[in-house]
Amino acid sequence: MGRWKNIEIDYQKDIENYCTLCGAILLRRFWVNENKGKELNFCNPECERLFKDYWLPKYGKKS
Amino acid sequence: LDPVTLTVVNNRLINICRQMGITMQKTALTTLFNEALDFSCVIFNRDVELIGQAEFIPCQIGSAILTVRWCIEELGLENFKPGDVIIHNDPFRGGAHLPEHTTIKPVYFDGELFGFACNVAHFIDTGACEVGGFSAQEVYQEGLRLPPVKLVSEGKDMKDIWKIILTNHRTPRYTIGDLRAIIGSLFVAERSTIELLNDYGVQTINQATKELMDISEEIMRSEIRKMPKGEYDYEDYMDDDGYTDKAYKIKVTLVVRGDELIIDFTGTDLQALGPINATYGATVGACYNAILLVNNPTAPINSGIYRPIKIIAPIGTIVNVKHPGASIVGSHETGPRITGAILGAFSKIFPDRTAAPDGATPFSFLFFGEHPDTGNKFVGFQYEGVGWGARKDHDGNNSVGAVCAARARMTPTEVMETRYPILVKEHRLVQDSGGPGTHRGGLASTSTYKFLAPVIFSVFTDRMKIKPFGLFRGKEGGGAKLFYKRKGEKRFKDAGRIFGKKIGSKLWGIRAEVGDEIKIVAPGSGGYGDPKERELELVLDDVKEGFVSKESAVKDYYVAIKGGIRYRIDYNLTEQLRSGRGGLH
Repeated sequence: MGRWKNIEIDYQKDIENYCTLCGAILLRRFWVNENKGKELNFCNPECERLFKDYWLPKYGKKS
Repeated sequence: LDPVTLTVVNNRLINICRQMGITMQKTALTTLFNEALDFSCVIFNRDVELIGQAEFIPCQIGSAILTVRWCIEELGLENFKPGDVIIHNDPFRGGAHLPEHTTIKPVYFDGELFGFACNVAHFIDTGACEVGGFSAQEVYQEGLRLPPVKLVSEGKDMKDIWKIILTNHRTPRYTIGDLRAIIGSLFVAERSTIELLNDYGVQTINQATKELMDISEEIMRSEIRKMPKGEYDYEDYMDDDGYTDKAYKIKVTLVVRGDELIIDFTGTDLQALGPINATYGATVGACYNAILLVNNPTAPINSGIYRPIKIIAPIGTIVNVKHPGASIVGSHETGPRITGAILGAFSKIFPDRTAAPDGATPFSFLFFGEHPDTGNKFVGFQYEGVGWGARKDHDGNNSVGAVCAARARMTPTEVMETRYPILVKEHRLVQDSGGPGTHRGGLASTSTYKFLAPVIFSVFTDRMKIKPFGLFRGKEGGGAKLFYKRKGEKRFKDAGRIFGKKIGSKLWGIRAEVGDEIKIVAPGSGGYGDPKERELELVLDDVKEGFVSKESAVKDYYVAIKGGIRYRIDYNLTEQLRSGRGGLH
């Protein structure tokens, strides 16, 4: 099960938090789920759905 | 709600955006706004869904959806107050590129937040390493980078922020004039939106905009359902990044799945050292632009229409630059090429609806100096008109802004000569620059400028090597060219050679002396269909107009034209040529 996560922007760091599927930058609030024990960040559950039923079957073995 | 109410509300929202645009055009100081119209005005509801837009720059509107959302997320909705104006131009917070300044004003009604008025405006100068910032290899060289900050707080100027901005720009007098125009447009939007809410009530407007978004979503989903399921891909290449003589691939795959469309850029080349990289916001804008060009034009344009579209832009590629990569021209050079690549893929689904590629560059020509008549510093930005690609039933348009920035236009000769110490020596269409086809690509234009005062200039374009391709046996259009002539010299020479650059399409920070001249030749566009099938009379008309040379008529269209002053078709020779019996083939 995924969950929403809120973070504070740390102005001492570069913004380098991206959606695992679409590549959009994630700022303060984003969707988190796990895949093979690794925490993956997404814009929303919709991006997670596409990651699982489009991206992984198509590119998963290559990555 | 009834269709009449929905239509009236939709049109009122469109008109609010148009009013903003007119305010901006009439009151801004720089020619990039009052002549070239390089800005966009949109309205969002409080959930940051786009509910109103008008005929502005397509790529700006697409990225505004992200910019405003990220802006509000960063500041927090609870921190907005009536009378606030927020400014923001960070490419790594949703922006299309650094010169694009997004300003937003919350609109309150009866003490409650209704939504946001937004103006996205392309500033000529941002305090980059040179005018244009085209040498940038990272964002820090592109100019002053603003995270979302309040420019006006509860109606009062935040003077410290103004001081920082004005101190960093080369022409603060222009900046303050343009910022006041932007703020004025936001006030106009606020006033007109409140009038709309007074007329209908907030509940009706919220209901109407929700229904309009649902209608747009359903229209888009039904368009996608008409597409055959499957995957359609296309590749196009950028000439280079200004540093390395290496072409950069844009690969796109359209995936049609039921009523959703995935635009997948997996396979696109890694990001470049030079500033051709597109931000995620620029890529989204270019994608939305392509979608709207080939799908149902009757749908109200709002956030609903984009719901069935999903964009995958791998991070660290030229379609989604990773921090701190440079991206200052990604929006207006790579963006149009992204749109073109998607249209190339769409040509496999909708051959009847898709045009061949356009010139796809604004041919950015920026200059900075001190006017000898006034002693004032000036900065200017001139476009050059490209050709638009031919379609199944039409020739392409001549000398217009790149499709991705379709509303942007050239600053007229009279204004160029009045505002800047520059003489426009020539402006005309480029013969044979429209790709031959059953329908011919639109022609590009060329301009020659003579400098009447010392000026620092920068130029950035593409399509010098990789020209706009033709569709369905149509041929490619003419490529970009750039020439320069120093004072006293008789002939123009390749600008790259004169300034010791092996890549002649991208020059920056060059000092022009009084009497020097620059000649800009924009790229044309692709043809559609076999040129051999073009009607003979149309070829004759093109030769009479000077659009096509007699040589191209024979070589590309297999049509022989005779006569030096009064052109006529040589039917016998043409019949031989088109039947393959002519001696020329």
